[in-house]
Amino acid sequence: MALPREIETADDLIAEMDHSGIDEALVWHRDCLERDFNAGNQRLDEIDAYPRLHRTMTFVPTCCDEMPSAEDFVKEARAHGVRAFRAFPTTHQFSLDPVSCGDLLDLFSACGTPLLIPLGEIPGGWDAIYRLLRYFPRLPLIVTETGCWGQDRYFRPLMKTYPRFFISMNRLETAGQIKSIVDRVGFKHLVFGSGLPRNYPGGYLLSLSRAGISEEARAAIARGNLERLLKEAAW
Amino acid sequence: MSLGDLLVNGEPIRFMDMHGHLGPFNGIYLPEASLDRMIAGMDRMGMECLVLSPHSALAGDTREGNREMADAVQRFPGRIYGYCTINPHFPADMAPEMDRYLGQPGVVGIKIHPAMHACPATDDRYTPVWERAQAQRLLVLSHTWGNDGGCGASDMRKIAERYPDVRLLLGHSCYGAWREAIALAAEFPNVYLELTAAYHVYGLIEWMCRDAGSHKVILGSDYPWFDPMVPVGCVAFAHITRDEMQDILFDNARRLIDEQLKST
Repeated sequence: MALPREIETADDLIAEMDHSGIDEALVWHRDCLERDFNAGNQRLDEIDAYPRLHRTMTFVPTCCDEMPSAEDFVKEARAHGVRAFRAFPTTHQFSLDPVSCGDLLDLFSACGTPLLIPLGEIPGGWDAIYRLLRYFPRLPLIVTETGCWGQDRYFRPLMKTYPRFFISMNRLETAGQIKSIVDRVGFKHLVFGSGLPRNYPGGYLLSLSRAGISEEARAAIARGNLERLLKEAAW
Repeated sequence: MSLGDLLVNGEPIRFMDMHGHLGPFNGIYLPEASLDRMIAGMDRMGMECLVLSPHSALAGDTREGNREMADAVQRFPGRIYGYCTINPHFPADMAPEMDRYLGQPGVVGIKIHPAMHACPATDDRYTPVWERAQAQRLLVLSHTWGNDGGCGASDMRKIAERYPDVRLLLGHSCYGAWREAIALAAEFPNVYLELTAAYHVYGLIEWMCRDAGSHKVILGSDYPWFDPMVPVGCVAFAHITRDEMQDILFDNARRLIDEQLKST
């Protein structure tokens, strides 16, 4: 899919982050989604020289010969400095059910390594997320791109129930939503995400800075929540 | 320091929003849906004024919704302006509603939603709207999406060709059909690109300014659906000049509204 403005290189990405005032980022390569997950994972070698950019690695189930065993995949990820995992089940045509991904999701849960998935990539949507978290209640799950239409009735119960469930701010655009979540649920379940280069980061930066929440809450959403989650990963 | 940095660090903002609504909407939790909450939000954000069409006018009884619009305009003159909403499925109401509201202080144009009302903008049932808007050089905010389907760029091209004096705001800028929408705004003097929902697409604001001109780009947010700080932030951090930002955030809307107010 062509975008109006592309981020072609790590230098381009760093330049835009500087322009927007973003210190660090979890990064994946779009080839993971649009071409081949292995090719996309390999292209993350391009960010090795950039300490502000952190690798996230995309997986599919281990049932075919395209993935190593779950243990070897996690070892390889750790060796490459991967900070979190990503999955695109709809595009890559697989299920997150424990029958399919239990080996990987058990390990992610045990290690505390975050898993990021766009809402639209989860077959079955929110009901599937409810089932997933019943099976893997300690899985650090960050749902991204939940859409600009407020999904609060779906995700607030999950925030209240699962300490390791998070929503990324990209496309979280309902007026008054951040303040309402912080006031009623707390600030610990929101993490900053921009979706760059699909989205302008500046919109979410300004929305967060003017959300009418405490400085403590703002700082936690902007950085602290994700930083803590990444530090908790025990591997 | 860039405008975006200044705003994030608390610099006051002054902007106008030409695509707003009012009241709750089915299926979505909207924390700031009431008029009083919206005004408080506008005060907090620095939004000088909002032009709105109530959800009740779009999805319910249009006459009741238009009354709600007129009440809001009357309660907050200069802060709230209104669009007279037209539902093409009630042809007997169209002329009376336009007669009742167009020309009233603070009512600055017409709102149509061909997708929600399942009636193409080019359908004969909309003809009275376009003819009235053409005759009086009115502002019309139409929901637009994609290139086809009744409210896409190809449909809007037919309207722009047929009714060149209508000040046509392409709500959502024909979301996804960017090239076609930008071409329309570049080609037709009275066609404008309205940013609601489109604002988040990285690089689009620069493209609009380059090919259509910043004077053709209008800020909108669907407030109280979307936080207006998101589009304002997208504009303030875009790679465009401060003058272009000023056009989009304030000057274009002020000019269009003032022109409507003078002519009524």
